[in-house]
Amino acid sequence: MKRLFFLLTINLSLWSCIGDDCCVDPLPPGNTRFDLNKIYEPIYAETTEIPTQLAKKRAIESAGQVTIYQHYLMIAESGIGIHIINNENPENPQKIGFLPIAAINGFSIKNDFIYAKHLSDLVVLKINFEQSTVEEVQRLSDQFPHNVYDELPPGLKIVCPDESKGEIIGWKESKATSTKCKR
Amino acid sequence: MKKTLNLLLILCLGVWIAACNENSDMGPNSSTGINGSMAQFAISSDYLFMLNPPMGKLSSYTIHQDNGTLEFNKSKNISREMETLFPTEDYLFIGTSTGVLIYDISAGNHLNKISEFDHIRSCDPVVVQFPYAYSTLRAGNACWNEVNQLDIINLEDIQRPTLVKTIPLENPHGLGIDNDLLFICEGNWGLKVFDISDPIDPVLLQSFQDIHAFDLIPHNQTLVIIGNDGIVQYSYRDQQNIKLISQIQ
Repeated sequence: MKRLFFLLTINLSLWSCIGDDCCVDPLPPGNTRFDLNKIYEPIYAETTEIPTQLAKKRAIESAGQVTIYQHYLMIAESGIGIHIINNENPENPQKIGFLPIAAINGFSIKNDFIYAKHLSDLVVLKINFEQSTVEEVQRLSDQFPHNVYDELPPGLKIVCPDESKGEIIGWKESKATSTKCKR
Repeated sequence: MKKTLNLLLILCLGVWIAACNENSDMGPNSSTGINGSMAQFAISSDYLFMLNPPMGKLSSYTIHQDNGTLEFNKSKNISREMETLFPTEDYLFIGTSTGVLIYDISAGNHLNKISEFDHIRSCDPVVVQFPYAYSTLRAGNACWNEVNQLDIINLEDIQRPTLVKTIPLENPHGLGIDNDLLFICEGNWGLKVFDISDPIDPVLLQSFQDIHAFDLIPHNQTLVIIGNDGIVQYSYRDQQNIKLISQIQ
């Protein structure tokens, strides 16, 4: 109940009705992927656990980071996780699987250790590409202030969040043509 | 003669940097991923750097070689909207919405600011091929300055970076360099490829307008692009005939 009240307070303080002029405060977001002319919608967590086995491959919807590691391509999908692709033959790249990492905003990899943001933590994951397995090696807690609304620029139009759908772990462009909510 | 020597020097530097990028740490069986120019995480030798968007924290961690674990070194509050990181062996270039910041990371657990190159408010990743930095400025939305351009910045005196040239663009996002070629993502306007054999006078070689390009990495004669079309790859083995080789969604 306390948590619900907390969320409600946050929500009330963050949303306001559309109609204000967007250009009063020219402060841009730190995150350059948002466009004030578009509407964004919440991405709800399917799971916030990092699995020990890669999930099955899926479509790339909103690629946020590209990384080349050995003969692999790793494509981060903001908020959701990393697509892993065998690019031994660039003329015929093959998706291997998907590594779900909730609230990811970027990562680096060295010697098969992935360093990534997971919710508000920084995690170290050892990946085995051949066996498609993942092992959590280290977790540094609370390295990131985790408020998913923080990354949104003021004035951005968003599809009204529905907390009953699960934890919000990121944002994506929406096909909605109108909305009552904005940051 | 002097010009030839200069060119040769720049070419050597280019090759050296390209080699560094492939494997910035020289240990046996050690390899580091290469991130695109829009990334907010970077590794240089045994150090991990990351940005805490939207406002102002740059953090540094030491990576333990034996087990891959991290040890926190330092955080710096930086009162700018930081967007992207580009590491070289000794320097970390931070693209912010108001300019490029240059940090000395030669002693990786320290973060010492050396200099900055300020510009008007915009979105700007930066990549470096010494002695020049290439930074794109994009008009992010209606509230910002309507500027879309490439800035070429001279780093010969790293304490005092200076603007050498500005080239107008459509809607630049990520960018990348491989020796004589500069690749720039133009969002909905696709991809532009410039010949930078004269590093301060880019000449447009080819443009591809039928893809959406957000960020890219040129590596081993293959250009990997991400955007709304998923992953699109081009071969630039033949610089005069850069061609599409694959696309997956």
